[in-house]
Amino acid sequence: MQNNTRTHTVCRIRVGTSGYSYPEWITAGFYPPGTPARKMLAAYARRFPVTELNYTWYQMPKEPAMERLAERAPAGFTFTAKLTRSLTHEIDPGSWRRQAELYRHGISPLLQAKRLLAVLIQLPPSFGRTAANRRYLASLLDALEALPLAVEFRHRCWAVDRVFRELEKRHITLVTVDTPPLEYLFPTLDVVTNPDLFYVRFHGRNLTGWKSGNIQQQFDYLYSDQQLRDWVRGPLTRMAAGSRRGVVFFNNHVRGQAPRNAAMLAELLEAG
Amino acid sequence: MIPLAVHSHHSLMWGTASWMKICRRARHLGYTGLAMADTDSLSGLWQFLEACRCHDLRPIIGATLTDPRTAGHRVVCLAMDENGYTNLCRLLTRRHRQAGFCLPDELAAGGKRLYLLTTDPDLLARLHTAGLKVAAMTERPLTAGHSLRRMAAALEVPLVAAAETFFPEAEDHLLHRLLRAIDCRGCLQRPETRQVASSRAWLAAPDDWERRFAGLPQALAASDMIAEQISFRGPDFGLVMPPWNDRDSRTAHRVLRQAAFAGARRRYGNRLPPAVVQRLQHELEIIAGMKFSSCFLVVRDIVAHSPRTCGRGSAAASLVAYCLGITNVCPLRHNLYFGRFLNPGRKDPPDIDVDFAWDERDRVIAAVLGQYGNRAAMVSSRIVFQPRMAIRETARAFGLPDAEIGKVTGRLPRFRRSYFAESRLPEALREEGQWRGPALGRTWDRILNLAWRLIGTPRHLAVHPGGVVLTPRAVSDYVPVQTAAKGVPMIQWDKDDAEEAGLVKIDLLGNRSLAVIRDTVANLKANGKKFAENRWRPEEDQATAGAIATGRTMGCFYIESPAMRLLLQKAGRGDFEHLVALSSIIRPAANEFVRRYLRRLHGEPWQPVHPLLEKVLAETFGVMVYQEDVARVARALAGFTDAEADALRKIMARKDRRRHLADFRQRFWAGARAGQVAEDVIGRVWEMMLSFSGYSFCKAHSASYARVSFQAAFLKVHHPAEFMAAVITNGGGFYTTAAYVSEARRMGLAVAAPDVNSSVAAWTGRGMTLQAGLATVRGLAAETCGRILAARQERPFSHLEDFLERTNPSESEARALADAGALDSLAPGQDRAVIFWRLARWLQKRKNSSGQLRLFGTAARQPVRVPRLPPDDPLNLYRRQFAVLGFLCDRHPISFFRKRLERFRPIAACRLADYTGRRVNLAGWLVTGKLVRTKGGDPMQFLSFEDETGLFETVFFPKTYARFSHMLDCARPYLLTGRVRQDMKAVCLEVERIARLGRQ
Amino acid sequence: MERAIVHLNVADFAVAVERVVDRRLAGRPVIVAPPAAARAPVYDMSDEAYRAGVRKRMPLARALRLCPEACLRPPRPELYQRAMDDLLRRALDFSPLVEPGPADGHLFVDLTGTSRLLGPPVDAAWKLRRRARNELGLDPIWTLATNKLVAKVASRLVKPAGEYIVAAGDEEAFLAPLPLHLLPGLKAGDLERLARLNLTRAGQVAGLTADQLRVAVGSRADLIAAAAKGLDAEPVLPAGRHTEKVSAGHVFAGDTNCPGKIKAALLEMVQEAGHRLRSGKLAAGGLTLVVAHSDGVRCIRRKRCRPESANDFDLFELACQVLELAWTRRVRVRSLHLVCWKLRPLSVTLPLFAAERRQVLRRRNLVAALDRIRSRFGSRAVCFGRTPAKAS
Repeated sequence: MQNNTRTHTVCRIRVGTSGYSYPEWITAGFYPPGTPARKMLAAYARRFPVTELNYTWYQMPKEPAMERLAERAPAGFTFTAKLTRSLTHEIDPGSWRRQAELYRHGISPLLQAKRLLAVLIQLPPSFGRTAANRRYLASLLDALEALPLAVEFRHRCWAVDRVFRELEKRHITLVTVDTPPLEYLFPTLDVVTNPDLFYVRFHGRNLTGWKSGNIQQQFDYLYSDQQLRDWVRGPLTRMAAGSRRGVVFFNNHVRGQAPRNAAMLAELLEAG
Repeated sequence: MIPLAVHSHHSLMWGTASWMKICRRARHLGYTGLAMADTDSLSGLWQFLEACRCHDLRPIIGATLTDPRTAGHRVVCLAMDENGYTNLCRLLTRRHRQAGFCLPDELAAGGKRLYLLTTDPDLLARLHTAGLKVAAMTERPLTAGHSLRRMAAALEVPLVAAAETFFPEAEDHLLHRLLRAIDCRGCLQRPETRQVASSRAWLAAPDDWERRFAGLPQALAASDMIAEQISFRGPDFGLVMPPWNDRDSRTAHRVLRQAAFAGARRRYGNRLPPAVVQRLQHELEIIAGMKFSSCFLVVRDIVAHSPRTCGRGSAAASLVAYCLGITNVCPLRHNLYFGRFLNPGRKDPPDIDVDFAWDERDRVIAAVLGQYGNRAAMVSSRIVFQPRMAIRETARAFGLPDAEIGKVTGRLPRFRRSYFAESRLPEALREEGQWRGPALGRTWDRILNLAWRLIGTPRHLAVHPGGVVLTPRAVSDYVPVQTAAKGVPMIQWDKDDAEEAGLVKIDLLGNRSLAVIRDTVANLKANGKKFAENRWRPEEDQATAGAIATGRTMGCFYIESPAMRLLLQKAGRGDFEHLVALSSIIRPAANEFVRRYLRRLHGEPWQPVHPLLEKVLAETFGVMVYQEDVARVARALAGFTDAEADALRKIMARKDRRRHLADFRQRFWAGARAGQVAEDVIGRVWEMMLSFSGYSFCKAHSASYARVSFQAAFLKVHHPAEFMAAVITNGGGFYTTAAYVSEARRMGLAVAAPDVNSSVAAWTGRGMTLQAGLATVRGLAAETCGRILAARQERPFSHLEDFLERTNPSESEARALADAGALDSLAPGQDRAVIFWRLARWLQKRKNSSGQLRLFGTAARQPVRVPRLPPDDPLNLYRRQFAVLGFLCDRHPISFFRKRLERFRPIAACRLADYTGRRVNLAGWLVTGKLVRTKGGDPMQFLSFEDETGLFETVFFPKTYARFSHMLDCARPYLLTGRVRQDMKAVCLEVERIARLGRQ
Repeated sequence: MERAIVHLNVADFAVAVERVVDRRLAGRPVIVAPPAAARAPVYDMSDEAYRAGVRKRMPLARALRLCPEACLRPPRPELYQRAMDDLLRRALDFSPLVEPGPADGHLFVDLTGTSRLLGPPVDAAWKLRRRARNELGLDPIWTLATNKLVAKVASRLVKPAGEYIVAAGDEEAFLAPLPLHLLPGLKAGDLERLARLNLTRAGQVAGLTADQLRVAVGSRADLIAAAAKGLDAEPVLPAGRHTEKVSAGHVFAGDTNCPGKIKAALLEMVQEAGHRLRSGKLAAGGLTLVVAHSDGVRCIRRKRCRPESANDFDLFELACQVLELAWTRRVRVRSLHLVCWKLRPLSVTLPLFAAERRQVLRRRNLVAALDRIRSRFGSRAVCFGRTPAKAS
């Protein structure tokens, strides 16, 4: 925001999907029939330059596995990685520091290989802006200081300037989201808190699915060409202006809609 | 009323009580006599007679004879006179040794002068028809119509109230059932009724019988009537000498005389010194007087079987024995006292004991038994329940699994029976201090209490390892003979019984050190060194004396134990005379006198206790050292006769006859008082005499042994590699192989791992290298070892596959050899993993070629290439070598703990003396230990440890012992903390704390 | 099709279930064992007790020595079975292919092909675990891999808590650095042979050729190579719905040799089995009795039951005969296990002859009456005079 005066000649925007290892993308036609899981990354990388690792949310990343991942990924391909659920959704006050330590350790091979764009701290809707949560978040960000960080809030109570200023001070990206229009959800904002990277996540706008709690319905949505054009013309252009780099991920993975939308957006950006 | 069919625990695994206990009970119940009727055995005869004497009961001697084919046939046979006794011995011998023994037939043929009691009417008739003395036996009054009663009446033989009893009191039935359960490998809670005596089979009181037989009083009277007819009160053979037959029918005495003088000329030269002649004459006279000549000649013949023997015991005091080559120490030169061996007053037969190399003894015994036929037999030894066995067997009968029993018995200390004399077993164990840790629970309390009652009960008869009796007539005329497990004839009496009976016993014992010396000399000769044995005088060698004086005698016969080596260090003397004294004085009860002796040896002035003893004990600084000193002092101070003095000496030597000792004490005091000896002097002398109770040696015996000790020490000093090789090969020394290997390393020898191309089965020595033998590899069968040596004779093994091909070892054998390092020379420069790979490949090939017969043709497939295997981990190799050898060749296992030990700054064992008086930490591998008791009866322990630099001795005083005893077990490393003590040059660590070092 | 196999493993299952029942046990060392006798074997223990040295089947007295502060709970197998059934039911919401272990907190769930319905397998696995936690109070380890073998190894790695996802294609690399003893299927003998070749890690073994491995471990080469490479085609075998056998077991509180106690336990087992047979309208064609001794040795004997029967009297007579055959050792008995096999529908035909018929009828009526009482008042409401009031 304050850097608006400094113009960037090029802001490189990378588009990809949240996760790439979905067996159902074979039936959806994204992967060729019979693609085994171990060959999916290579196939994916032929189409997109970046992906968001979501299994690091389910399990603590482990050094050897990350090392192998860094080695296997084609040149130039990059990652962002979700922070593990034990630090965002299932926090144990007694052990989270140890978990943060483990995470830093586990993810380090990707960072060293210069393939890690950001670590995504995705906080659940239930994570309201209470005094305790604010304290926790501050300590968590301290604990992970060595990593490039991006924070995604789901609850709208976090959409206040003080939060943005704090992120800005810490050089941490505020994640921009596209979600169904729900009262409590964090709004779509084009605030850039870290000029090094902006981070957009498209969750789809399936209102009923979102309420159902079933992952297959929640993320069952296909953005229209027009909706994406609006994004390119509006928020994306504005954010690109204030940033050196940006990443955009589609999380509407059901029936291969995410890669379809990602491809569409990439095309628009290139054309645009 | 006299009980006519009483069984003791000599009815093995049926009867519960000793004769002493039964007789006490019988007396208490008011009986005036009783009949022994142990099943097929007279094993308890002498104990029975002794017990009857003690309790003033009239003994009736008999046995219950059973038929091996029909379990039901049992006849109680009571000896009516000497002939009856001989017949009974013969019958019992046939019962045990004759295949197809048929009870009725045998009794009919050889049952004269026996009173036979049976409950079987048909048998009664049969035996009566054969003209034998019979009676019908019943435990309850029979109705007039009962077949047995009718038969007795018809034959006009008595019907007698009698029942076989197996335990003295009703509640002992439980113990009986326990014995039966153990014997049948059953469990106590599920008895097989057929295999157990009825709960009524206890020794009932006379009034019980009277009540029972109120309606048939004549049956009770019959028992007295039968007892009246039996006059026999026990055999009296006098001294039973070995048979003597000379082809020229010369008397034994004449032959002995000639042989003795001939031998004397060999020992002393043709011109015999007058002292020799005089002593020979004296000895021969006594020997002849006691008709003992044949015995000497028989032993001489036996000794002639073997080139290297060592006559031991008091016989070594005999110049005749020395001249006959039975012993090897000159009794004149060493002032050995003949009277201890033979004296005219002596009534019991003296033993002649000869040691043979342990591996030659069986052959010698077989030759003797072969030569004398049925006039020779081995003495038996009664295997009785020891605490450990009693506990294990009882626990099994309770149904506990072996693993759990092992956990408990593994924690038992080494017991001595005396611990159990008074206290109950559980308490005794608690007192032992080894039961720190878990309490055992109710079941174990019951087990221990029952097991305690089992201790001392005979379990079976085993053959005594070396005791042979030779008799002029068949041995079975004197005592029943049975066949030992290894096939030799064996009398039913143990050595004490045989002595009691007057049978002369010759002890042919195995001795490892004789084999060690033999093998060392053979090894030397094989190495091309000259060794002239007939001119060998180790006693005169300075270097040998030096080694003995400083206790560097590990591996040397009789003087290698830690206690002995400490004593040698304290004495600081290495000459023959002192060694004789030192190896005698080291007795359990003589600590105080040892110290007195040492102080005087080092120059403390002393006065004889009494002028009368000045001469008697001059040689040993006024301290009684030898067993015969008891007799000599008794004679000098209290005017005992030779015979009395000898009897006293013998009583001292055995601990279980306190009753007699009291008599002798009185006589000793009275005799000494009569000689105007002061009371306090008598008291002090008597106390010194008491230190001989238990275990002690006569000077002659010590001298015989000292000579072997000297030979061993000489070889250790001058031919260390050959000597240590022989020590380890012959095994059975005081220490483990690992401890000897450490000693060898400390002696500067290099220890080479076994090697299939250079080792033989035994260990060998050459120069400064000790080559481990193949037989030391655990799991290598003797046949395979033989195949290896035979194949190597043809040509050396050129490579691993060549070795495998030509010796065809089993997989586990090949593995053990590889672990030991024995295959390394077949694959130079290769990792052990590669050796194992090649081994596996060869085994695969062998399996394929033997299994399906080359289904796919014989095409020798390309051998599978050796993969790139990770490098060996040296620690693993050591671990495996240790597992298969029990030691490491080139380093001490404790060296692996050094890193962990650094922070404790342990000192090296070899520098212990430098820290005298200070508290130190020390790493030690437990080598051996000995439990002793303080005067107050508290257990304490002396333990030997070693590290890479030396062996060191420690003492655990009672408090420390109680605290740490549960964690002490052999062959593992410890960290010790304690204070270094020095006493007359002997260094010892007084341990304060000990901690286990973890596994490697 | 690449598979997605979840291994769910509730560590120290019995303890975990006890902790659900009694919250006070949380965080404290717990030992589950029959408390009556000091020699009773430990059935299960918590991680705290494990770290103090307590192991399964160790005598309780020793366990309590090692871990004196432990809370002691008697084993309640029926409770654990119920918890297992609950867990199984939840797993069945995710896939019909669920293979449960024998009441030990282990389950394999095959999620292959469920992603269209449930989303990515990893998400389904996590949700399954979340349900176990939220609804049952159990916190299972969960692992996800392409086969049972790898999933199992992964759960051994994270014990006592956590999760492990082995990405498809990552199996061999995942196993390579692991010590061989973690691989299921390898026996002590295999490990020993391989250790002598300095092969101690899965990757070292996976690097050998088939011929080379055959030299090292003979006929077990294929199995071991597959294990080392993380290959396993074993299907997840769904839990059988109907039992082929009716069985009953009894573990003595303290090992025993007492014929009375053993007969009493046998009778109780016969009654339990008989009741189950009758409620299933089945009759047994034979009995097998397993007598397990203190030292771990088991003697197994069986006998045909002619004609087949579901009557306690008949079965007990036969069971006693089998006991005679099976109980011959002197070592104490630790447990009995009775299996009724050759199950047939219960026939109603009666013997031809009147006397026999009367007896059969009498026995049948008596047993029927007993069953009625038990069904109303509980299984311990009536019992035969022979059974002591409290068996054991």
